[in-house]
Amino acid sequence: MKIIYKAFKQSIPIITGYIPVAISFGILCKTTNLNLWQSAMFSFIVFAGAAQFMSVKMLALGVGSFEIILATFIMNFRMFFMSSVLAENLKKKDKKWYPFISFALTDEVFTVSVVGQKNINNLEVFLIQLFAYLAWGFGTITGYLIGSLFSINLLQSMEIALYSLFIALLTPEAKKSHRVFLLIILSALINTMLKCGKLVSHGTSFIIAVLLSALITSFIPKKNKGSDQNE
Amino acid sequence: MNKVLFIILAMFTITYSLRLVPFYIFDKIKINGKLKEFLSYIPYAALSAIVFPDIFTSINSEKIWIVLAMLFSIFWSLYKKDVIIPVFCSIIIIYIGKCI
Repeated sequence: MKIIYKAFKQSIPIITGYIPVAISFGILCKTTNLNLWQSAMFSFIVFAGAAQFMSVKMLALGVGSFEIILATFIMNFRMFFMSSVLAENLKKKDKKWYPFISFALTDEVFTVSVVGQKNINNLEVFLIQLFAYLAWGFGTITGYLIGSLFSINLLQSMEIALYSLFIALLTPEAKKSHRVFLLIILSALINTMLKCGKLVSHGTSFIIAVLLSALITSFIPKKNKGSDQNE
Repeated sequence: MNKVLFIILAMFTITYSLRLVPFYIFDKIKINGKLKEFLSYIPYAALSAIVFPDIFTSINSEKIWIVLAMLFSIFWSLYKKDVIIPVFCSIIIIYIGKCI
């Protein structure tokens, strides 16, 4: 029971952020003339926020299947790194959990289960994912069916939720370690430059920014060994 | 098979594989040293790249309110290890900005 409560508490900011975005996704599906089943299947089967928006927009433009799938691969390649980190961080490696705790691993779930806590337990990760997954899926259906009833201003305001969650998770880590602080600035700068320069696609700029900033930070020499480690 | 269903299934296969495969890789391989350090940086770098620059471009609000919401979240979390207040207060800040 205690673990359910803890997982639910951790998933509140995620749910708050997911519901308005999922409702917007449902509305987008409806305006794109997908049927309810297709819209629900996107959210319940694929469960990948940004990639879902992208592919539905591409479908609406009549883009070919192969290009949509390739774009999904590029955009979601970051999941590969996130999964690697979570796999390393798990308290107990237990094969029977892998198919379950990997399916719903989104940016937000990853963040909440990795940042600021070490050795998270399998069940806890799974529960956080489950709450997030249900919010996303049912949010989509709600948006599809009665999306027009919601206040646009409120839905749009709620879109700040996930960003605030991320900032509130990052700040204490940056305060603890100069290296993490530097890393955050580097990653933000690289990603901003790549995106504003429009040289590479959305997913690619993200991957380059993350890998490059992490690489640079791991090669910065440590002055006093161990004094500034985040472990 | 219709195009939408095909795309949904293909997206599922790709996304799920990207999420699942690392678990099996790291089940077999033990990593340490530089690679471990590198991996430990990924969460922070990823978070930062998710937030910037998108926080300024993807939210339909005047920038000043976004900056206010952002500063509030930073200052609150500098002193308190809590994410709920920043999340809800920043929604309120953006909403107020829209109503004024």
